[in-house]
Amino acid sequence: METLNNLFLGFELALAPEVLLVCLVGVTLGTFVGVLPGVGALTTIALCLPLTFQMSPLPGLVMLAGIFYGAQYGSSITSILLNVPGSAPAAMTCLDGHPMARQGRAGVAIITAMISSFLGGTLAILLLILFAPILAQWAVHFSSADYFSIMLLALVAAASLGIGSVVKGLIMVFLGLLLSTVGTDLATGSFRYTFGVAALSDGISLPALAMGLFGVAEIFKNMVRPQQISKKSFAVNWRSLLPTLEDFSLFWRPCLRGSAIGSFIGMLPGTGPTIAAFLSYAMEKKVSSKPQGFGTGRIEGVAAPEAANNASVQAAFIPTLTLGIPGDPIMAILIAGLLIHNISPGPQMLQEHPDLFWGVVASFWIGNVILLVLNIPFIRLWVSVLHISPKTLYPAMLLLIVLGVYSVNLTSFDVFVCVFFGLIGYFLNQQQYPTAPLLLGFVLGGPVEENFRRALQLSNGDMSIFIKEPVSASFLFIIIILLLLPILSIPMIGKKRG
Amino acid sequence: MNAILFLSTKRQLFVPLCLFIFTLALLVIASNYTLGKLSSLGAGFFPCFICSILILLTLLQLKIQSIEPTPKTTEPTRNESKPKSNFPVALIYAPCGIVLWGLLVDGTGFFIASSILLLFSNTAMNSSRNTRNELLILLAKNLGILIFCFILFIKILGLPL
Repeated sequence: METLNNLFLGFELALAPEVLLVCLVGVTLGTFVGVLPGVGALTTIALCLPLTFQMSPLPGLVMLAGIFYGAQYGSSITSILLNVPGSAPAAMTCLDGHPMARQGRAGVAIITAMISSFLGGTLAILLLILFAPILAQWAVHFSSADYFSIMLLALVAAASLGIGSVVKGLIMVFLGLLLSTVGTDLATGSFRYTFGVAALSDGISLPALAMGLFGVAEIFKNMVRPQQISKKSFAVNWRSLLPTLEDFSLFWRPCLRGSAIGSFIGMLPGTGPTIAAFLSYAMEKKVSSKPQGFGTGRIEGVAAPEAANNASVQAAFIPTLTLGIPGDPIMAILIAGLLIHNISPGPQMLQEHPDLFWGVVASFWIGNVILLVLNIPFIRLWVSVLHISPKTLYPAMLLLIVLGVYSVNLTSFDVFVCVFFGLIGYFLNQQQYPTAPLLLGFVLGGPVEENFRRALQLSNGDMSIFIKEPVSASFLFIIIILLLLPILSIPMIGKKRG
Repeated sequence: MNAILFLSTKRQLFVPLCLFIFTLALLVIASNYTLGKLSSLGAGFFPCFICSILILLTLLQLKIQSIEPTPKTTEPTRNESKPKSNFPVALIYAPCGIVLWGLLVDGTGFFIASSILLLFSNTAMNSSRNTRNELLILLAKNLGILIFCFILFIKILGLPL
C-alpha cells in the first residue's frame, strides 16, 4: 500500500509541467543521438550534465535518464532502415531488422522494436518499484566492510563481465582508483599528487574526466576517421506499420524472455545493454525450432534484443539509486549529477528524498509512453537526422563540451584536464582498453577508500573483518569466482574444441 | 637497441609500458606520504597499495602481449575504397583548438575563443579543402553554432563570459 502511495506521489511530481517538459526534451534528444552513429548516450549525458546544475534535482535526473533510454529507441530506427546501429546494443537489431526492411516489412520491424522496448522498459520499471525499496531496506544494515566488498565487486564485475580482456579491464579499474586519490586526503588533510597545483587540491573534476574520456575521445575518433553512412533508406507508411496476428503470436514470448534477461543483466554492474541484447538474441536462437532462420528477417530477432536492451537500461537504476553503486559510466555520471545537488544515492535516499526517487521512477514510464508516441509518426524525420554533416556536428559538439566543462567550476584548468583525458581516451580505445571501468574506478575510489579505512579502524586493524562479516564474505567469494572464471574457462574451451 | 627494435614490432606493448612507468613514478611519490598503521591508515597507504597492484597488472599485461602476435592491419582490397583518415591532423588541430580556447577565454571573451576553437576543429576535419560556396555555408553554420551557444550558456544559463 505504501509503495502505491509513493508511486502516486511520483506520478504527481512527474506530471508537473516542468518535469514533463524536460522529460520530453530528454527523450527527444536521446532519440536524436540514438539515430546518429558515433554520438552515444554517454557523450550526450556528459554534455548535458552542466545544464542540470541550474535545475532542481528531479527535472535534472529525469532529463539525463530520458536521454539514456531515448537513445536506445532511436538507435533501433536506423538499425532497421539503414543497417546502421546508432549504438552498440542496436547492432543485434540490425541482424534481423534490416533483412525484414529489405523484405518490405520495415514498418512491422519498427513497430515490433518500439512495442518490445516499451514492454521491456515497463517490466524493468515494475521490478524497480518492487525491489528497490526492499534492497534499500536491506542495505541500510550494511557495515563499512560490506560496503567495501560490494563496491569492490562492482569494480571487478565492470572489468571482467564486459567485452574484452579481463586484465585490461582491471588495469583500467585500478587506474581509475589511482586517479581518485589525487587531491586532499579527507581523513588526514594531506595533499596527494597535487604537485603544487592549487586546482588539483579538490581532486580531478569528474565532469572534466568523464567528458574527456567519452565525449572528446569519441569526437577525436570521428574526426580522425569520419564514418560513411549509407543514406539509402526504406519507405515506411502507416499501413506497413500494422503487424499481423501471426506477428503478434511470434513476438510476445521472445519479448518477455528478452525483458527478463535484460532486467537481470541490467542490475549487474559492468554489464549494460550490449550484453543484454547479445544474450537475449543468443537465447532466442537457442530456444527456436528453426535457429538457421535467424539473420534472415525473423521478428523474434528484433523483439528479444530490443526488449532486453531497454529493460537493462531501466534496471541499471536499481543498484544506482538504492546502493549508490553505478553499474556503468552513464550511471556514474548520473550520480555525479546528484552529488552536485548534495544528494547521495544510496539506501537513505528512499527515506530522505522519496519525492526524487518515486518521481524519477514515474517519469520512466511517462518517458516510455512519450517515446512510443514520438517515434512512430516521426520515423522519416529521425532518418533525416542522418543528413547532418559531420563537419558541422563534431565541431559544434566540441564547443558544447568545452563550454559545459568550463561552466562547472569556471576554470580553464578543467578544460585542459578534459582535453588531456580526451587524448588518453582516444589512444586507450585504439588499443582496446575499455575506458568505462576507469570512470567507475574513479567514481567509487573515494567511497572504497573511506569504507576500507573505516572498517579497519573499527576492527582495530584486523583484516579478517572482511571475511568475518557474512555479507562481505559472500561478495568477496563472488569476486574470487569472477576472477577465476576466465582462467577456469580456458581448459574447458580447449576440451570443447578438442 | 634490441629493445627498441622489439618495441617497434610490438606496438601493443606501448600502453602497458607507459602505464608501468607512470605507475612506478607515482609509487615513488606515494612512498613519501605517511603510510600509517592498519588501525589508522595514513594518506600514502591507499595510493601505494593501488600502485603496487597496478604495477603487477601492467607487468602481467606486458607478458601477455609480448607473446601475442602483433595484430595485422587489414589493407583494403583493390575494389574497396580506402576510408579517408585525418590522422594525425585531427589529433593536432582539435586538441590545440581546445587548449587555445582555455588560454584565451578569460582574456578575449567567448566569441573570439570559440571562433578559434571552431576554426581549428574545421581544419581538423579537412574542411579547408571545400569549395568557396561550401566554405561560406560552413561559415554561416559556425556563426549559427556560436549564436546558439551564446544564447544557451550565456543568456539562459548565465555563464559569466
